Amino acid sequence: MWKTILRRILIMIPEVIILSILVFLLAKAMPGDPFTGSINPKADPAQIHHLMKINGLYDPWYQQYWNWVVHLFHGNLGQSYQYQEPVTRLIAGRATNTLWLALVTMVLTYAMALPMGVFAGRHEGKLPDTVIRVYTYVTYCIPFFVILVLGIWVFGYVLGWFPTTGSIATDANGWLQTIGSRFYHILLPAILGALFGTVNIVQYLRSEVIDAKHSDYVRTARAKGVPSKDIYRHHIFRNSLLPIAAFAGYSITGLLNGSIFTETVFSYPGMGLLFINSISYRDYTVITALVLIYGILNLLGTLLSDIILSVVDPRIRIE
Amino acid sequence: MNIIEIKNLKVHYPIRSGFWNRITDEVPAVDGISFNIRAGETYGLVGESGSGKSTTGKSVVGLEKVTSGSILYKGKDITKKENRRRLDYNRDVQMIFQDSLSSLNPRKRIEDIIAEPLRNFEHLSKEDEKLRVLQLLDIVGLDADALYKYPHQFSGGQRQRIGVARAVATHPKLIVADEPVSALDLSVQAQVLNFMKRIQRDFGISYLFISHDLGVVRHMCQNIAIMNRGRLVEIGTRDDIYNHPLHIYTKRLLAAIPETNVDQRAAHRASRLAVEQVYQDEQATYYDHDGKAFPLVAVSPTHSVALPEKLAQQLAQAETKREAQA
Amino acid sequence: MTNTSDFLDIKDVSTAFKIDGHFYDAISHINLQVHHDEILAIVGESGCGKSTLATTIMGLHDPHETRISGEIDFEGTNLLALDDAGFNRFRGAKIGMIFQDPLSALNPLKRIDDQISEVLDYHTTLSSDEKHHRVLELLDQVGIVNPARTARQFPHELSGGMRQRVIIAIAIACKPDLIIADEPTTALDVTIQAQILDVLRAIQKENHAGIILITHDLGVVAETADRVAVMYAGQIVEQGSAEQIFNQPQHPYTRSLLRSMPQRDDENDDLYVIRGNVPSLQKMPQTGDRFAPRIPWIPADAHEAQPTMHQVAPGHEVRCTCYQHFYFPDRTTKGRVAK
Repeated sequence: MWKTILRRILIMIPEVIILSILVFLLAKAMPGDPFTGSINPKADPAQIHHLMKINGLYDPWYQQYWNWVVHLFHGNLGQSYQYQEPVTRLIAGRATNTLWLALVTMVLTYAMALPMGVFAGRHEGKLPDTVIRVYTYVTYCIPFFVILVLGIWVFGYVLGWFPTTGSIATDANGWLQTIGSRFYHILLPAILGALFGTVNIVQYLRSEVIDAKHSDYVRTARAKGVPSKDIYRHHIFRNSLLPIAAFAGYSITGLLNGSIFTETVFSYPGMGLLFINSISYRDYTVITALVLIYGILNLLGTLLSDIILSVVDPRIRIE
Repeated sequence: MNIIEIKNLKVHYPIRSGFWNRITDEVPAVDGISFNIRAGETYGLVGESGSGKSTTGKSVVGLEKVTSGSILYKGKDITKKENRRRLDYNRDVQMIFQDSLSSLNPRKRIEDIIAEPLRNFEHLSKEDEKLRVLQLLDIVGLDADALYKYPHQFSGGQRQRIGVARAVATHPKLIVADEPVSALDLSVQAQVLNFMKRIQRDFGISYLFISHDLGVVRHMCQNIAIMNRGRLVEIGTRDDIYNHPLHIYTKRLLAAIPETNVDQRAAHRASRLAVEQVYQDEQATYYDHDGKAFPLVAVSPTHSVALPEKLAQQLAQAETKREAQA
Repeated sequence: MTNTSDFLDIKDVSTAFKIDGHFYDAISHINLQVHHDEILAIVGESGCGKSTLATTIMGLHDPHETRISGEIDFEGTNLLALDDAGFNRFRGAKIGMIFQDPLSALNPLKRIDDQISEVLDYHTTLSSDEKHHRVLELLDQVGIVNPARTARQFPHELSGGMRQRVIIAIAIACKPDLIIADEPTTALDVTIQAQILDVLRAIQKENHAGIILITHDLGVVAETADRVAVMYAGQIVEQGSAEQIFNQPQHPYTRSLLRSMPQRDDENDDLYVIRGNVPSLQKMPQTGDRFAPRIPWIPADAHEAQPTMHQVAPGHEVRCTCYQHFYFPDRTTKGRVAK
């Protein structure tokens, strides 16, 4: 199994290289440059020209790419033009914020989705199932950013229950307050993210439960004289949760994509917001670094899913 | 005249393992088999699941990557793709599958399903094409209103007949039928088998009839090959195989067919258990030290068995003597 | 335990399924008895209701989607009057069931020993050591060579024949009086089929169980059954001993079915084909002989308006009077033919 995992990681290397080249080229293809308008709107074009030159931005793309790769191996992702800060430090700070947001979102998503999916599947066609299905359809139909804007408006402004911006209150002191304040800031975006994230899991789990209910092995269990509630516990739930468990790896992808919306709407200082800002400021070093990180995390997520699946399902063995 | 000559056909599936996922071993699904199908006959290929009979069938149609050996059609080796194209092989050789529901595209109407091979090979006008499809439906006994229906709207037997209609659309010379009636009820099975025979008479088609059901094979096939673990253990005429089986595996298969003669139940069972005992005890006599069948040896112009030469002749003589006495 | 007692008495049982809001009979007015120490085969083609009868006896139908009437008397209890919890005392304990597809009938995620001992969990008070011991004993009884190894394996690691042996082990774990085997060998090779039928027969002898063997395969019936009930379109059309059914078949359907089998001596003839199709559940005629449309050359007055079972010999019953007038259109002999 370790061999396979190692091999999968090795296969990721060319994938990551291709990804990074693509990203690099796309970033370069965007019109504009990092200096115009960002230093001083009245800056002398000759000075910008000079800055471009000393930063190597006139070099051919492969040379710029090569320089970047060489630096990368020195643990140096470059300097952000916008923030005048090493990219590594910049991202490290943002990553923790995103990580916490993602973690809370994920916990909330599964905490809501699992009972809903199982319940809907078990009572297929009855009232609770209909209610849950209507909920998933409605949530599915509304674009994510609309949910976010709606949520922030209702719970943030109208009801005023949650903060609408930032990751921590400025006056938080002591570790207890700090953690409390962070969690308080995360809660609303996480709940909204979870509302959106539950849809797929609920629908998937529901149909898994319904399939399992009508499966032959459940009929065998009934023929053994196993009471209904035990059949659900020992056979149906276990077997239908299995693909969901494997889903966990893939959901990293969804969370990262979601974070771009969430963090922008909530002005939450995470990687998503950083990404959007870097794009608008043509902060190449940050863009490329972020996309690279996103790409690697996605690949790791897929790998994680495969590993989880092989652990929980005896039919699949990675040798 | 032979329509197909299979010579030492091998299909090995690779097993990949290790760090670089290289091919470390092979499963010999088909492990060196040879037989010929004559024009206009039904050739039976019999074996249990995993014997390699379906892989053989797919190789004949060109759906399988052949490891070595050749399949000659009109003197050309059709395991090579360019020969298949040059001979219009895929028009001359068609296939009928066991599972009629999954082998027919559920989103296509019957008209399109049957016309598909025509469109690939014959380029008819719209009217001619429709006429042909109607003729084909008529041949398999379905009404014209079937044209605009979808596969799921038919019963299993009707779908299997649609599969037959599609297979005969291009006037093929050979049809490979892989377990064509295994999923059907007895009365429907009879209907499909009758259709297959009638089409054979009318169009002079040859069949490679792949089945595990020895009762059906006896009804359909003039010549039969028995396949076991990727090799042939016995080939012969219907009479050779059913009345004078020599290999223990053939005997074992025959003994396992349930008999409808209730009065002979006990005797039949006793003889089955006796054959099974020999099969268990004398593996070393009937198979080589790798547990594989020996090469085929001819004991008569029609009858060959996979045994060492001496044993084969000995058994054949014993069989002749037994028959003379009976 | 007497050998001839009816311990299962099916009285006038009908099971209707809900299709588009209406109930349609899948089996109607079934009367059937099963004795100890016998194998009763129920034979018929797909859709004739033979599996529905099995699942009705096992109480496996969703009560919201089915309507069941009649009475199933099992050792003095009317099974149809039981609620689900009451039924669970019988299922697995006194009635065991064997299914057609041994792969899908086993939970893919559970080891074999867990799946067998599950039935012991609910019907016995054995300790876990005793259960483990019993599991190995059962695997040995159904002819598995290395029980200890098989017990720790998962279903996908076993061959089809071994899986079916495991299913049988589950069915017989509590020594049930009645075993219902629904197409137990259809998914298996003939040589494996013969072995599985041997196992079934051995178990029936050992446990003095009654077995209901449901199959479409007349060969399997002829090799295994003591008595046979032939079903067509939800009804029993003929029943009798295996000898009676195979040597003196009476009902036109039984005779047609036997004739459509490929036989030794008609290799070059066409097989006999029964005309027409079985009507769908929704289009099933509620009066008259359901087989009549498939033998249109038999005059209408040969059939009864409300066909009933007629005894033709002790233990041998046939539905409708048309059997007295039946002949094959391509053969001149009228009426009953002895084989």
